[in-house]
Amino acid sequence: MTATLRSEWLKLRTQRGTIVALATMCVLMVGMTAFFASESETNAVLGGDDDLVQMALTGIVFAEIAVVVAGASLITGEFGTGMIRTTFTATQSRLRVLAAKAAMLFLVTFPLGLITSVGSFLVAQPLLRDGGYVAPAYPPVSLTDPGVPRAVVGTALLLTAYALLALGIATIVRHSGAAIAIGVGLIFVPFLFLGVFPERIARRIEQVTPLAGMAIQSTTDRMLAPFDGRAGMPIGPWEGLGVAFAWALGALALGYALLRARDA
Amino acid sequence: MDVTIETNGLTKRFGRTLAVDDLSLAIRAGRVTGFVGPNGAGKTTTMQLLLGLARSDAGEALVAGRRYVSIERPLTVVGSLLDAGALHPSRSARNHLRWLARSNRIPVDRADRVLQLVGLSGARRRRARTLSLGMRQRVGVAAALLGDPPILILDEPTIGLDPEGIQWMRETLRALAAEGRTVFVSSHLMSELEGTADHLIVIGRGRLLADLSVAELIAAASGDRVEVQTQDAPTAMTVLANAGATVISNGRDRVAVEGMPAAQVAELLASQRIPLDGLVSTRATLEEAYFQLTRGAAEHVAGAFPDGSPRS
Repeated sequence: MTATLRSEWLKLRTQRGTIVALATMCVLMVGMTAFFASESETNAVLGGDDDLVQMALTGIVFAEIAVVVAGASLITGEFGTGMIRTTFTATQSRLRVLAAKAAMLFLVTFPLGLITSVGSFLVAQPLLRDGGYVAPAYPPVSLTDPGVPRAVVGTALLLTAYALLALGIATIVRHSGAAIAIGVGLIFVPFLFLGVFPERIARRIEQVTPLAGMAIQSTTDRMLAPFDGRAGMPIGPWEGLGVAFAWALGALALGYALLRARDA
Repeated sequence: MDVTIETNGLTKRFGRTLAVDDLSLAIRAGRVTGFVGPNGAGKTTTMQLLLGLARSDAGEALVAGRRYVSIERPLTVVGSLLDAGALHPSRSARNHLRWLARSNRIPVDRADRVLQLVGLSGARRRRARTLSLGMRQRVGVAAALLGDPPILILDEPTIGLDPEGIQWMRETLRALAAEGRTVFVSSHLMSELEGTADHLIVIGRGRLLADLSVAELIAAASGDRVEVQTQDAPTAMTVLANAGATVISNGRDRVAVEGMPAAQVAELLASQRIPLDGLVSTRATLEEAYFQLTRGAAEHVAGAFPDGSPRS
């Protein structure tokens, strides 16, 4: 297994598309958070209820597109060129190959996600202050305040879950365009439905789709505060993140079953 | 170590098409075994079955006496080249070989060694997308040699090569066989195996058509055929026919003779004082012999078969 891990690590490092997608993820995470924070304003003097923590992590909405591309490209490049056969002649176990790819994706995406989440949070705070988010309505928040570490680390984990989901989907459909479309669709289409469907269904969507993972970012009693005004959390933060990972593992498991069943 | 390649009753179906049909082969070490047949004959599928990339419906495919999937560090036992295009466009030849080396715990400096061996040292850092098809074939051969394996399975390694490249491939394969390796190489063009293969396995529509040496194949197709040119064709024909040969008039002064060696023909005509202006013993080329064998077994004869069969 070590040999396969080392081999997959070298592949990842030398695969330009994946590297570019991961770099794009970092840029979008910090950049779009900064943009959003600099455009946010409030004139609340007392008792504001905006979620300053989640607002400082909004870039994820854009970063997740890039992370889907990164996750999918890890294996679609091999399906597209037929290199997957070379991979399987070198390492016959499909499980070992897919597990090594998933492990490498986790080991790269999580640290990058963590650094950029912390970066986003720190960049956003002064920008939000400039927009009127000041005491007493909005006392300053720091990385060590209750709930903040969970939201920041959770954001990195959520990006990782979406990357793994994309890898799983790509293994199922074996085509880069289709994998990215399905991956982005699974994450974004629920967003679109939130405002369209009645409360009951919107809540359900927030509980069962990969969107549930966004609960990890919330430090108030509202999920998706910047996008959705509804009060009350439809799902707990860790439970929501768990739902996102369940999707990722489900996709990977199905992908593995198909890798085994189909001729390469 | 057992370095043979073997299939027993190997069968693979794609939908309603029998791609490989009850195929039994045994390929020996120390020589180049050519695997020929028309496009769609089942060559690539057979090789994929040997390498554990496809699942057989019946029978077994063994390399080094085992199923490929059960071989540890497989690149050190079997080297293979399936598709020269199978390189990630942004990765260099060298990095391609390095990830392969790592996956089988082969020292990474082997990557540079095999690149040198195939004459690509100068291009080792170039991205794969900038390499010509011929260079990619060389990268593929380098990858096959990475683990210094005693068995080589190469699918159409000469496709896309220029004459110089074909010559290089020919010499490389012969040298590898001379070192005692088992070299199993497919081609849909018999001419590309001429001068390379010692032994031939011919298949058509997934079935074994012939398993014989190159010399045997040519002899089988040629028979004894002698062309005689003489002023007195009618007398010559009578004499030869009386001696038991089959004769065919081939124009006013030409006679084709079958079933009698050239020397005996000459002797007989001389003894009867029949003037002899020319005598040519004809031999079928490998290509002709192959056509004779595969005639009727070609998969893609117009209208003969529905589409949907996989590439060779």
